[in-house]
Amino acid sequence: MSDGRHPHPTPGDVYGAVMLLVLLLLLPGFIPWGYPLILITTGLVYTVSAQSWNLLATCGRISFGHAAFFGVGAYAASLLMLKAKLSMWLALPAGALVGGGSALLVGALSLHLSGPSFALATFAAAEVLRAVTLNWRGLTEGSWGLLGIPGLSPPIPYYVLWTASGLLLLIQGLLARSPFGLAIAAIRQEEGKAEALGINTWLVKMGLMGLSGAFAGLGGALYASLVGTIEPNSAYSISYSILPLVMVMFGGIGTLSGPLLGAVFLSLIDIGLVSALVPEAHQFLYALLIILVVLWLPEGVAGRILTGKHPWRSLR
Amino acid sequence: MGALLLEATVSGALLGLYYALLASGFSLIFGVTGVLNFAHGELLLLAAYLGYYLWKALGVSPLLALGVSIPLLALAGPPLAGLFARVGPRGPGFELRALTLAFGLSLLLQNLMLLAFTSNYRLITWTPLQHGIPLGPVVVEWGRLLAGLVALTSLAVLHGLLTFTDTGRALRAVAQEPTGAALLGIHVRRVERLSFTLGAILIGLAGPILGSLQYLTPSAGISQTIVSLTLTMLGGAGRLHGLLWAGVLFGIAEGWIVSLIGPSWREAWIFALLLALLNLKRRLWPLGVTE
Repeated sequence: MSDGRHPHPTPGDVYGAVMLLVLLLLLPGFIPWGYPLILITTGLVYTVSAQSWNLLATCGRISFGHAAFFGVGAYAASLLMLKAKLSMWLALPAGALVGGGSALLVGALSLHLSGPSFALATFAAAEVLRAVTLNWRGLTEGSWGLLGIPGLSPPIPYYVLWTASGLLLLIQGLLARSPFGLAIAAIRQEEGKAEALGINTWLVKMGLMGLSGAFAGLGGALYASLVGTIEPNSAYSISYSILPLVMVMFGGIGTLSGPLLGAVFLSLIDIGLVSALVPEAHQFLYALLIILVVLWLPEGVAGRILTGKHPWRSLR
Repeated sequence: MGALLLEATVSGALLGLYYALLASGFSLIFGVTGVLNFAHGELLLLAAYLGYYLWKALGVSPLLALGVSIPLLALAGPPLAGLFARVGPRGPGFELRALTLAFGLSLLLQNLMLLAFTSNYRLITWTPLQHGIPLGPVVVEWGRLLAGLVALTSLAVLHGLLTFTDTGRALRAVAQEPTGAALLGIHVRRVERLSFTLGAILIGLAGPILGSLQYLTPSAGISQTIVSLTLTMLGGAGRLHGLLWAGVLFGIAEGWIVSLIGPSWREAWIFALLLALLNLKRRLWPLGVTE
């Protein structure tokens, strides 16, 4: 069954995404330096996670376990800086590399699944990785966590993240326009037929998973250097699985502008209203949003504006 | 060592019987409606907290608390069924939409419980449950023995209900072939609603006992959900004898792992087992109530 969507992103989608990216580039100019800048940098960490999650979702795979790659990236970069005394500029890409590697590992165990089975497999994988990090005390200090992780001075992490976000947009946009993009759309719509047509579906899916994990890992690595301390329950927090899911579903799965829109809008609401007024309600809001979006806005805000169609309905 | 393992085996097997009861509601709902109720563990916790506060405030034993938790949970059945019916109809993508909805529900309930009950660890320590009972060469806690007995009795009643009543036949028919059942004049919507109510009753039955077996905290629900999911995959959806076998094997394996390797790996092995099962079974199949 086809969802009737041409793999090429619509001009409106590209335009919206580029506008949002420009807005994000200019945003620090309007924000007082210091704590507010750290808050929006954290928001940008979520944006990159959301985009990386969306990259995987283009082949119809909904992950419940992106915290796995986020956490692995955070730990890899932090350990390399603390124990191997590696410089930040080497540790960040290394975190991305390890994040991508772990995604390939998880992918090997889960990408032959789809729909709910894939979601559950990724959820389980994230919990296994968290437990391994928690119990491998010799390397990770267990529940003590890692302290004193070096960080970059304030505006730099923001622009590194912005670059990652732009890169992700470019990758997703170029992929969509390439023959690779047709293969991805074919896998999303009819995986069996795609395979029968001679598409190496395994390679395409693993490629997307590896890329997705690498950017999530980079997000984790930057997050670790931003906050300076991590422990297993914070680095593998279920929040890092939920946030990308909510943000992309709210914005519009599979679109270019959706993840940016969802991440920017929800981060701003979170920073401006929820964290300031009722900090306990943080996760509460996201939980409620998942329910509301699944029930009433399955195509997301950008999805509805752009197409009026229901890409979510074709996911399985 | 041998005595320790023997005790872990007996105690684990009893706990396993209870796990089968704990998973039965999840399994029934999945078998009949195809909904993977990720909020299963949180609903169990709600029933468990109810039992805890009844015991704390009034000194009510967990067994008597069932008289309150079962009807209250049963009331939650029809609204839940209505909610999941909204992401229907069944077809491509339904299971994933339902799972995502349930995931949101699970987080919502978790956060509500965090507000209502805080993250403090709570346990029903009703003294009669903690007495040791000599059972052959080993000593088991009365609470575990009782949990096992309650589970066996309830599952036997459920089995009777599913096998010998018209309602049970309708439930099994919808589980096997919804379209065929509808053609035979079975009101599928109503049967699906019924399965949610029955599932919620089973949750109300298992909940207060959970509060006496392990510490309660709002985040403890996820691992109950995963146990239920794992047992459903091992035993087959809605097949009660399969669920019992799976529960007992799972309980014994867990007992051994906890006593040999240590409790810190308990969660990891459950998730690893789920991942392994997903890989072995390739797909979750609603296998029907009896096969």
